[in-house]
Amino acid sequence: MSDIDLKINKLAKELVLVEKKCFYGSEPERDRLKKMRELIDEVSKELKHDS
Amino acid sequence: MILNSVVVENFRSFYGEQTISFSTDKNKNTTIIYALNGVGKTNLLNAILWCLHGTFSPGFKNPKDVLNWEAKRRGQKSFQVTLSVEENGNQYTIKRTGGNNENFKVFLIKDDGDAEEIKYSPSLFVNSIIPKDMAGYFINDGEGNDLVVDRDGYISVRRSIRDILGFNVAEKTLEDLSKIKSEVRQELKRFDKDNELSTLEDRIQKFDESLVQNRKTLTETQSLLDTYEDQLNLNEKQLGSSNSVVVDQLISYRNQTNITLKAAESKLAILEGNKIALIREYSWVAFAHPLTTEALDFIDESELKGKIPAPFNIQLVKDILEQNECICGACISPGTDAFDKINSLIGQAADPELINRLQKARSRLTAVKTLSPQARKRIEENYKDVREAQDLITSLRSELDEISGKILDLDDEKIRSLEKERNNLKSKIRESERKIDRLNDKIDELFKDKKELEAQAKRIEGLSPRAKLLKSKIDLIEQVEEKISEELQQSEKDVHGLLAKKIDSFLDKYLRQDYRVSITSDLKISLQDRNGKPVPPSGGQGAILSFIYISSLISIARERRELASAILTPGAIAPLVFDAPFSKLDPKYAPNVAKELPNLVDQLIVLMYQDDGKNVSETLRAEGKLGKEYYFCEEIAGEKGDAEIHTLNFNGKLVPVTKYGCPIDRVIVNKVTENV
Repeated sequence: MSDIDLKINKLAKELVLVEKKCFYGSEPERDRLKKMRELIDEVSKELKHDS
Repeated sequence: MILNSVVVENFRSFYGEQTISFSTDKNKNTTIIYALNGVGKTNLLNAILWCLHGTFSPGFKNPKDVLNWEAKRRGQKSFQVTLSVEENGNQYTIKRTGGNNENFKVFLIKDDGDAEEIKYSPSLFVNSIIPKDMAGYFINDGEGNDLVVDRDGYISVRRSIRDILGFNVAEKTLEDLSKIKSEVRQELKRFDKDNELSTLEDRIQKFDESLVQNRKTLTETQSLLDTYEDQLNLNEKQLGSSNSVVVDQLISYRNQTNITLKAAESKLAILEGNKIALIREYSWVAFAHPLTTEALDFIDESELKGKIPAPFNIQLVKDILEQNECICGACISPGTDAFDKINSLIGQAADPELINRLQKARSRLTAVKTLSPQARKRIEENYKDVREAQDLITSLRSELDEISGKILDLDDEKIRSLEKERNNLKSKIRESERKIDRLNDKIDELFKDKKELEAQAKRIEGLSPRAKLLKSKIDLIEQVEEKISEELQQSEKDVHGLLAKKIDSFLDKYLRQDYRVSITSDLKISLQDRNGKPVPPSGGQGAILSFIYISSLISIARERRELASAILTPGAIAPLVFDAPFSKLDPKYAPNVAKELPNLVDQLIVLMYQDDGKNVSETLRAEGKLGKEYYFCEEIAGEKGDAEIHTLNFNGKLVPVTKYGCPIDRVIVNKVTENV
């Protein structure tokens, strides 16, 4: 599996975890999109940097 | 998870504190709680469910009115449920308070008995031991979360399977990702000055939406096709079991003709495949055939008239000119006569590259000349075979129409009606198959077009750095969406086979001899009798189907406990708390089910009305599975009057379960002991 694939897999898992925490009520629902955007931004910048 | 005990306080029919300690013995893993209808079985089950997740079962009426009436009358404003559970060898206390003092706490009970509160995300902790989506199947009020029978007698278990696999969270993530992607696309419009990229992205989004819609229609059509095929199967069985010799002969002839037709259709499919292969192999020969004479003549003419046979090589001439020196050593400078003379030879010199290309062309054209008759012969043979197969199919179809016509002319209303229904179903099946083909083509086309647009978007140059960043973000989100969707699709596909296996295994245990269960490709199940006739899943049959379905779900959840995926929720090993599971079950099947249920889970808690005819407790006791028994006694403040005193029978002793003239109305929990 390539480095990019690994990063995408990791991001997918982290995004689901953010959703899971809000879905099960341990974190406020309203924060989830913000957290997801931040994670996507972070990985997007990492990938840009790598390339 | 193992439930050690539950303490309910002021929860619905329970006034004050009532405690039940469940059997935690590995062998005698079953606890039975007996209660009359309307006394508190569903309340107790919901107390457990509510304590874990703050939710109630579908059968729980007036969920906003939970505080016990007597407690309310006495000015109390809150109710509480406390569960003591064991998970992975650790003891925990889960405590939820409702009413005016809402609170939810989880404590780890240490070896010294001290309680340490789990402060970070107690709900996430509870979800890790029994996920909210699955809890309703383990703590089951018998209503069956989605036991909704459609008009064709099918129950869709797709939702339950998705709950057990943990699809909800992953699907919600996909929804959110789609929202974020849409936001990024909007932002892109601001930075994409000439709108080239954002226009493409808008179109890609439309393709995405269309793909989702078409895939949904495809799933629905496939499900309809499964249903029609099941119905046709039943219809043909009914037609085949007629008592008329004429009908039997016609049906038998039709069956034979259908077999021949299927063989002819398969042969035609192979021949059509061969046709495509032949076209691929020989199309260039067919198109090139007219060139064979003309082109070869032209090449030969060039040979005769042209420069090919010139006695010197063009490279030699070029080398002399470039090096300004002849092979004899003379100086050849540009502008001299000698230079011009040699330069003029270039037009006449032999070009080995040209010779090579002409030789290749000649060789290909010769091949065309040789292959042409062979191609013609093979293609003509294939066309002849295809025509013959098509004629045979047409003739067989017309024979089948004739047979159907003869059946429709028979003087038997039932047979005529079945035949009409059969023709109708056949036509629906053909239409569904055509629709599925069209949808598949459409999806392929949309997917291809979307990929083409994506490739175009990648080729766009001159984007601002910000637009480039936004574009790469969209690409990243799409890759993540693809990853999550792939995992969901694969899991659903895998679970179809697993569910079929589980259902078969439970049928074997419960009632193989009488029924079978059919599963469609989109996870709809139906109960069928031994003749393949669908049995409406109501009453006793509904209970059977419910048992098989819940047993299969729990078994799947159990096997998925160690799942490594972080995208889907791992399964759970939790107690099965079943409300009135045997009430609708035929006495014939109750002992079988009672025998098997405790083997399905580590702990079984059954809330039921004592029914002597079904031998449930006797079977559990005989199997060595019955650990503890409790019963609810309803205390009523009013006078008895003409009301009947209900009793339960324990070890031959009749125990009253309604008491009149008590100080207050309440339900109390009593343990059944040897002396009762």
